[in-house]
Amino acid sequence: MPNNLTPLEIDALTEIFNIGIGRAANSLNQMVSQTVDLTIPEIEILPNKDAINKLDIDNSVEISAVTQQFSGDFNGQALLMFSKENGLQLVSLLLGNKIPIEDLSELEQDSLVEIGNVILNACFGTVINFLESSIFIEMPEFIQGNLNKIFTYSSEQDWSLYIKVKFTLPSEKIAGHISFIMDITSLEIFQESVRKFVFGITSKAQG
Amino acid sequence: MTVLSNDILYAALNELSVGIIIIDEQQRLVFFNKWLSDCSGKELDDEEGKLLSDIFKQYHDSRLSSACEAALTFGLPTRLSHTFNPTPLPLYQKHFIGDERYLIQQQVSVKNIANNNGKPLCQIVIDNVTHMVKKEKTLQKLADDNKVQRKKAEVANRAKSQFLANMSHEIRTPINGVLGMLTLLADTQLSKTQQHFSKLAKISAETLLSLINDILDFSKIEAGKLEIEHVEFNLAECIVDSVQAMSIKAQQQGLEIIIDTTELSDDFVIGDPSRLTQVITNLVSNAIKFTEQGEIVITVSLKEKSSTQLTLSATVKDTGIGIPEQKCADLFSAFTQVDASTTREFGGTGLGLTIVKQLCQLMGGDISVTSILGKGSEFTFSLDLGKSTHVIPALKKFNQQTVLVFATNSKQLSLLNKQLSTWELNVAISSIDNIKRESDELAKNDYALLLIDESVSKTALIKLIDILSDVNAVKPHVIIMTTISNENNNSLYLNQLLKSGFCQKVTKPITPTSLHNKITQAFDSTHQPLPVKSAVVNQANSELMQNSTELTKILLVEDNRINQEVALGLLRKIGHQADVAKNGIHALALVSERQSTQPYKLILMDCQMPEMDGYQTTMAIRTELKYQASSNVVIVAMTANTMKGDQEKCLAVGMNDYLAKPINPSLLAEKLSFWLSKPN
Repeated sequence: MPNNLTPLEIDALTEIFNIGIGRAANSLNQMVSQTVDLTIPEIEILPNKDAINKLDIDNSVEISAVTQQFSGDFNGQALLMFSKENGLQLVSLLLGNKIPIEDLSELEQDSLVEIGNVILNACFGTVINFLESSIFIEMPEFIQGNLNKIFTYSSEQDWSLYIKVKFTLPSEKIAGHISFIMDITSLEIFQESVRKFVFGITSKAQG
Repeated sequence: MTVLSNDILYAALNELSVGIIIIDEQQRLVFFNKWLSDCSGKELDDEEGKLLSDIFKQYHDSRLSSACEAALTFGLPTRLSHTFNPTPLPLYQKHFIGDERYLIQQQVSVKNIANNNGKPLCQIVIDNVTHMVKKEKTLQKLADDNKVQRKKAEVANRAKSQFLANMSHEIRTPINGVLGMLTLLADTQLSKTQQHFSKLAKISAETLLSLINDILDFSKIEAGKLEIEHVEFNLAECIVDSVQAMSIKAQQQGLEIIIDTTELSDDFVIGDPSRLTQVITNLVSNAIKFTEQGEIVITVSLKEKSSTQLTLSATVKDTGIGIPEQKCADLFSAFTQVDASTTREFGGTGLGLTIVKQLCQLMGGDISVTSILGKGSEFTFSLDLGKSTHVIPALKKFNQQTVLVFATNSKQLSLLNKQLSTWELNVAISSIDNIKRESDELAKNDYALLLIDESVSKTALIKLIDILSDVNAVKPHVIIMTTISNENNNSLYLNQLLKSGFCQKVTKPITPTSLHNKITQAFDSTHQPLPVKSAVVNQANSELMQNSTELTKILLVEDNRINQEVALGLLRKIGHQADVAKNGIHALALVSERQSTQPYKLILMDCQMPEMDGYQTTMAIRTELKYQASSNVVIVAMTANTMKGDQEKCLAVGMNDYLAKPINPSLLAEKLSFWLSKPN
């Protein structure tokens, strides 16, 4: 069991991810005709099996997800997940479709990948920028299936940096879930860099 | 691993059918492959070392350039989908450089390349998705076209239904003429053969009319034009009346019809009685059609839905031929009967049940069926009704008098038991095998009332008569339940019973009100001799004879020659004569002519007429001074418009009553005797 981050450290983490995600919102707004606002109301570090419960999605529900693998200072897999229904709705709204779509065509699926890529990149950018970590990131991929199929990287011992993302569009609110799944060593390194970062700002503020 | 020479690697890159661009940290071009050269019209040798934004103007400040920057500074890979970035670079199909029609649709990946000497490079890979975009566009267009076509088809279908509705209405009018004339024809001197032919003609015309009515209803529902009325009516009466109207046919077939209304909690409800009648009539007539022997049981009950709403559930259960299970689901779709041969054998459009289902749904309910092939079917429907504040006082209770019931049908027996018990009668049920024991009982006990079904065995009946004539003490009252046609093996004995003076009959299907009336009469009329009734009838007849010598009291206003004939014929049949006016103006002339001598008592008024219609004529009689002496005349409308609101319109202009065409002879007789017997 790694040493948990203090509430202050979690606050700082939430803050920097919100800055990153704000940039992602900017990019999205340039891409689509709608105004999109992105916020991260909640960040938690917890065992992977608890993170699954956090999603509050039944195992029978089809999930659309965008995933990017990462390696370097810490290894793992980043996932942005929507219930299939929410994913369809998001694409539909961002494309300004009047008629609701029943299934994603290949090109529409690709547009969801781009949206996911923008958001996940913002998170990675934050980590690289603020925490000064060195990681290598793979191209985004689209996966669809139930929770068990999506959480392939995980083993019982894995941990998750769970981030909830809220998409606020003029007409609709859609929730997405981000999970950075890491093994325990990676998590310890990650937490260590968060502590260093927070220590850095607090000592600067004091000094 | 074999190390490939640079030449081989370059050749391989140039062979790829995707575009590859490699740039350095300053976003200067390091390499692009042949595909890109072919599609951009630029040569690597000319462009190498130039800024990418100088080579492609649109690259400057684009999402592609920020993606490259993210890759170069943070190592973040980016996917640019076609949807949000259809053509990030000006690439064309080979040989068509610069022609916007041949612009290549792109899907781009941007990624940094790990580089040993520490200077980051960035690779842009461009996929040509032009074909995929075309394919998806075609599919989308097909899907949209499909939607448009479907919409068009729906509109066309509605237009067709509208046309059908109009046509059916037009067709009804002449059929009514045919039917009316055939009715009159049947009353003239006809040979046996002619009688037979005219009867067949009439049956055909009636069938035709009911088919047309079905189509009219169906098309009205399809066109969304059918409106459900909300009027207050007596529910039990409505159900009983609609079933009774069909019971002659059932009884001719030897079927027992049983109506159970004991579970109806409310007397008056708000809804559409004519549509309810239609539903019941349809189901019961189907049951009669498909049942050769046995019984048809109609059970109705009411449940509270909310403080203002009730749900009526009703079942019509027969012992007929039944329906195969797999066909039950199709039964309610238009133009299907169980199989095509059914149509030939039993007739019908196959629209009846469809209409019934749609009517139930329009009234907030639905219908379902369960059936066992060869055993019978059970249709269950429900519909919503409004609660009414109108309550009729409960039927009188009979204070624990004892009734003995003789009947053969077990369902009939249990229903009678239930019904009679609610009136606080003690019921003893007799199964017929035990007639010996029961008659002994009868001899010993004081039964206040005997209720006998006419279908009991002859021996049982004879035995009964014997006992009844033997009993010296107080004789019980006897009520015999008979079929309407009253043709039975036992008629002789039944008549004997009926003549005995303490016996009455009630016709089946038994209804609570009729049964209650008879029982009340029986208990009240202990010493009332029967002949009095026939004296009354005789008196009425002689009165009628007398009246016919006087001036006619009735004016018929009708423009159509055939309809005039029909109406006059029907009137003659019930002993009335009438003057005829061919339109409103003519009618007003006749009215004022007769004012000085003997004003008309009743006017039968057609509504649609040339020159002056029935509404205008009525308003003139009611309001203008010249017709003051006749302003109280009873005016009964006759119209083929059976649409909702017609009746209100007639009453609104001052008419007293309303008859729908085709004129129902018995209804006409009823209305005439009602209005003519009223003092002015």
